[in-house]
Amino acid sequence: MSVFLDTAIDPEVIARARAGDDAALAAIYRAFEVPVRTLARRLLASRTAAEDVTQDVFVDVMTRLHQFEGRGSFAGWVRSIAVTRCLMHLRSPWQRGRLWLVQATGVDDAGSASDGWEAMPGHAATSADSADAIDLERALAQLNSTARAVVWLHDVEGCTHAEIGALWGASASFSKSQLARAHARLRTLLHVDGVGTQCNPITSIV
Amino acid sequence: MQPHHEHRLNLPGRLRSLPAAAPRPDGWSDVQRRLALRSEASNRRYHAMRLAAAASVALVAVTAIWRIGDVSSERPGRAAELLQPLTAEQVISADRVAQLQSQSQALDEVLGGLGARPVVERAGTSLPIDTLETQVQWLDHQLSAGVGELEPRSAEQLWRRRVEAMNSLVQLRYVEAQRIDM
Repeated sequence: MSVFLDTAIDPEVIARARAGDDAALAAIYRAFEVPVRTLARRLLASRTAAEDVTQDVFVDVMTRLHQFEGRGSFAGWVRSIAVTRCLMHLRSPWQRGRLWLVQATGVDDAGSASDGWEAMPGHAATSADSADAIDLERALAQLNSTARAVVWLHDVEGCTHAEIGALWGASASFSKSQLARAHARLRTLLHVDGVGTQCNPITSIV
Repeated sequence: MQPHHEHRLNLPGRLRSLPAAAPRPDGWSDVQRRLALRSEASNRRYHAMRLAAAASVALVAVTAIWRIGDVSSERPGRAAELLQPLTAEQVISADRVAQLQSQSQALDEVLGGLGARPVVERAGTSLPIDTLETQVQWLDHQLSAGVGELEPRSAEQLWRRRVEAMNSLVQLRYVEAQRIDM
């Protein structure tokens, strides 16, 4: 289930936030900080960029509260702003240039998404679980930005293929083929099918 | 199939069980700071628009005065005026100089209203602005150095060039202020 859609907020708080109540604005921030930050960290290759985009998402949410018409869920509305912000970042010419440079030189001074990941305190995990998670994060980080975003939006956020396709101005087939290719690549990287040599799973050495 | 292997095959399930990011203690204060900055920028944009409207009115007025000056200099009697004795020409020229001085002063006021140049500048406007500012400084130097000594015709020429340079400078500075605000 999506972390976003699990987050509920009292309509009364939204109404107070619209009126400019600082406490209500802070309550919205606290409620959605983790989902927004998690989404940004998973979708963007750079940790610094993810922090920056997270702040921008909340500035957008706070300044556009009057545009929320209450038709869908508030969480869904915040998620759509967060996804749009992340994709805008990925599509920016500067970011594309930076990614090209990172791929060409192999040096990324902004920190990768899987690097220095501070998990929620209290996230219970056995050593096998955490080794599994590290393997998966490493594999996820090796996908290209579009594939990574499609996988995350579909598998974790529960977006439909049509919704994902629309985000790229494409059809549902685009999302389906991206997802199929990304899953295949992840399985190879994780040696799930017993093939592939590009990534040594940490589980095999612990 | 072993449960662990089954779990490894379930990619969506594994992705969903990845840890969420931890909240940042200073996150809200950062957002508040950005909100304040955005609000400031929007206020600046509002003032810049008001200033732009005032600048446009001033520019239209200056251009109109300029055009009137040009039309009057092109009236049918101009040739006759040019043939008049030097003293008459000097009088006309002094009149034009006074007109150009007031236009120049109006443009100085508009430029003053645009405030200081932004810290972040665009290469496209920065260089021509620097050039125009240097030109205006040079003209000011020429005008101040030659007080009382300049021929009326030379003074008029210098003042006309100053008005032209100031006019371009105001327009460029306005464009620059607009772009920075965007």
